Amino acid sequence: MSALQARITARRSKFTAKSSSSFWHAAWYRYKQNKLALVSGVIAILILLVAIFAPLIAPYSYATQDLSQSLAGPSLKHLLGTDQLGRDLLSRAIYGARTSMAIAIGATLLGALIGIPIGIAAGWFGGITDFITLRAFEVFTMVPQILMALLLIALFGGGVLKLILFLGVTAWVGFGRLARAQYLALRDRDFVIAAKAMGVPTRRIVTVHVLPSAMGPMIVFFVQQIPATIFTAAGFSFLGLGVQDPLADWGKMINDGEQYLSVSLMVALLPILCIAVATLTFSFAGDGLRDALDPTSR
Amino acid sequence: MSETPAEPPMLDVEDLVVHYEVRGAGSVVRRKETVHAVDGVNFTLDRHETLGLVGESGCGKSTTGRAILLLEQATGGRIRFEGRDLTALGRRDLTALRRRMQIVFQDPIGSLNPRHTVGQLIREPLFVHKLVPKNKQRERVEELLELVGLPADAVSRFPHEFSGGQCQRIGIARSLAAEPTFLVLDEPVSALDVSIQAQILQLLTDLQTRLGLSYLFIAHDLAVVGQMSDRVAVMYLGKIVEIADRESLYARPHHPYTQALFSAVPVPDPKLSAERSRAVVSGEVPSSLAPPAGCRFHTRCPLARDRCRVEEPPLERVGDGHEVACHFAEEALLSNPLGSPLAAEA
Amino acid sequence: MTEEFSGTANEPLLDVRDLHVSFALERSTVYAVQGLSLRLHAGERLGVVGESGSGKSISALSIMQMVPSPGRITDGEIIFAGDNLRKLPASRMRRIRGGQIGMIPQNPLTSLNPVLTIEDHFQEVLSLHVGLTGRESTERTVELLRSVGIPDPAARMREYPHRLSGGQRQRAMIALAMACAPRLLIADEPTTALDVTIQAQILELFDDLVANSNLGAILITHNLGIVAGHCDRVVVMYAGRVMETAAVVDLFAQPAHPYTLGLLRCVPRLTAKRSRVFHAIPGLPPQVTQQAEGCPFAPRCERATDECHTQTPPLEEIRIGHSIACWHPVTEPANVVEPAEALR
Repeated sequence: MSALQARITARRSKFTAKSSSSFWHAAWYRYKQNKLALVSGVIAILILLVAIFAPLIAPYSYATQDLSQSLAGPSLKHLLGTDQLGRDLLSRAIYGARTSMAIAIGATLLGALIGIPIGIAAGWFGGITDFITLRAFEVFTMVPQILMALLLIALFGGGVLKLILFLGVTAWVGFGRLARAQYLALRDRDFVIAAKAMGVPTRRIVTVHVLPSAMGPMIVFFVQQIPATIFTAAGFSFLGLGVQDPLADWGKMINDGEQYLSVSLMVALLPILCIAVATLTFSFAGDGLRDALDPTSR
Repeated sequence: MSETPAEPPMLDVEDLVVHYEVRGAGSVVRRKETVHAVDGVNFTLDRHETLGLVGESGCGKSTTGRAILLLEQATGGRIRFEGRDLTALGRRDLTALRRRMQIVFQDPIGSLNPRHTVGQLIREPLFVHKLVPKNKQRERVEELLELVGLPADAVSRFPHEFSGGQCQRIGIARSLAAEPTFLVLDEPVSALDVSIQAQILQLLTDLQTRLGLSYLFIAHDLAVVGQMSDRVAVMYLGKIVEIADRESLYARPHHPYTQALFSAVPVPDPKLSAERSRAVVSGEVPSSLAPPAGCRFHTRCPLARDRCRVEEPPLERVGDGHEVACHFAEEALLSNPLGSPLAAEA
Repeated sequence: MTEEFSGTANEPLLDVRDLHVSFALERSTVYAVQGLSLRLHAGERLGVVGESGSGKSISALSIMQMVPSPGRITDGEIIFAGDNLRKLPASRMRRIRGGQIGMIPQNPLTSLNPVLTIEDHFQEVLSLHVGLTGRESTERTVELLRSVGIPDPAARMREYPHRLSGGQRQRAMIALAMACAPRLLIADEPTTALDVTIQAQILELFDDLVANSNLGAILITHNLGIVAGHCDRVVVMYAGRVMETAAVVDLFAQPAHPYTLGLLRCVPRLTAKRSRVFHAIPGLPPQVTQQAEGCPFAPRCERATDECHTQTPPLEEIRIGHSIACWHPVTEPANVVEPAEALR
């Protein structure tokens, strides 16, 4: 008992060395200790920056064609070569990051925005609200996310915005379950009861008092969802169901390049590499976040 | 105690019942079972008074405290606070009244939100109830910190930077911020070291004198309760088995369970504990899912007879303000193996 | 007790000399135990009292050679029945643990494996240390459970731990600790998780075991009341050091260390009438993250002088069997209970 206490107090004193250390300070300290997560986080942020500032970084537009240069190898003019329509591969990869990240983050965010409030309501109020939500979870879990999204695309067509919408509305269950579990666990904690006893209105308890404690796992889940969504979106585009020409997308680039593998390896290899790097870095960053935000889960 | 007939008691709990359903055991079909947490509890509390509520885990003492604060849904009974029935009030009046009843928890660290600074924690009641204008809030927070004996620079720090005793002070400051007249103290010192316990008990005593507070002091330790309370109620399996002024209860404990509790308290005196008979009560507390019929203590009581197994004893007056729920209260008093715990140590 | 104990009657069963345990953490080191010395004879009950962080539990784990990582015994000797436990190979230490030294933990529920029945727990220990299997093992289990007062042991032992009540679980843990007839029993806050009436039952059982089995017992607790009723000698620890050690009767009659006196005054008493003044020890226990010179209690001590802050007082005998580590011992008759409080 006091053995454990000694360790806990000692572990705590590590953070109290700084005059005012909060939970987030401590988490940042732990995150920094994990070199793989740190490097992955930096790369993930770089990918995001490239996606945001694509028009400033890319040497050409994603649509500029130069048919005389089709399937050319790397040169000074086209650093990574061109595709079958003579479009600059580097530029397309950069713009591809833009679409892929927009879909991945947009869809995950939409899922979070739908799922978290529903999960909170179920976990907090319990009873009939919880019952209905649980049944909804079950119905949505029954149909695999990909099949559901596939059905929606078949009905309404593809495109970036629709892809975000379809992947988003099918991704809410995970967030809902997580938020429900978090609120269920926190609902009966003493500090929440203390807030009730103080007469704090329910809306304020749920947001100001409970949300900060429930936040950590949700952030982790959010980051961990991104690589999965990158993959799914790329899959749809590869099948020709997602992003349409002339827009660049990593999944579609693989599809394009696949036919010319015998002529130019780069056309297919580059987008595959992009997807691999993006999913890996987001995964490692997510794992690092999990360890940093909840040190007991290791 | 000092009851004037004109003024109703500050708190009047009448026939309080708290039952809740749990899913029972069973692998395929799970029956719902009812926990009889509190089963008809009556008591009153006056202004500036402390009522101690003692019992072992599962006796319903904490549930009683929480039901009074409406943190636990009462199944039946009535709770009157400052003359008004809490169970019949509208939401608005309730919010205003609830502020005047606060709680201090057993776990000092768990009762403080780990993501909030001490300043945020104490400011919350001020903000929610708009008790102090915004520009005076900081001043009031520092005033409250001083009141509980913490430095003003605690404001910007987080709960985990403080020790258990200091966290309990922060919790008390937060409760006081709501300007209550009545505090439920739910085992406020049982998680603390002895040397720190005394500090917190001193603080609570001083605050009561200074601010004229009423306390419902919930504890499992008769020694601590004796030091803090004017009156003491002993609970067993959801019922009060004995209630009396402290002097009366400690000098003449009637109920066999009260006597058992006294005999079980370890006395920090080797000679005395050697002298004390080792007549400890046998067995364990039965489940509150299916409390025994008749007197709930009969399964462990050395004096139990047939009557105790079928007929439930009501609380009956045995002396001035001293009530006992035992069919054989007089006999129990005489057979008390301890004599009076007070007489023993004097 | 089947083995022969080579020592004479005067030789202690357990002799801990100048034990130091520290936890090296990333940014600091916690000096949990700083020079603990204690002796225990067979048939004796030794109480180790201290508040949280005093190092009392770590001391117990050190004797078992079970200090949790990153803790390490840095210095000192632990002589048990003639063997220095620190020098023993791991294989022999394993045989001593659970065999010759039994341990009763604080929380019986978390110390029992939830997926094993009570009988499974006994089977493992009995086959490992005593070589009992099958029928013999079952019979011995029933016998052990009966000896600690568990009703209908043959049926109860087939239950899983969660089906037993808290008191029965602790009884089962005690039976488990006693399964191989240990010579030393270490109980680490054995009743902290239990209710008072159950606590009284368990402590009575503890007394009976020590009296009937002639074993040495260490009872670690924060409760001076338990020490008064259930120990023969006592060691008072503070911040990893021994402050005072004496026979229980002496300690309560004439506490010589200001910390002991302070602790005794803090203990709430059944006698007292409604108090308006509580005896507290001001301040907070120290962080043991540095090995500073001086008495660790000095910052909270009303008798402290400059000397106390700069020089560590050694543990010295002031009477036969009564030692303290203090420059300014309490010599006047101790008024543990204030006259005003002694009441009526």
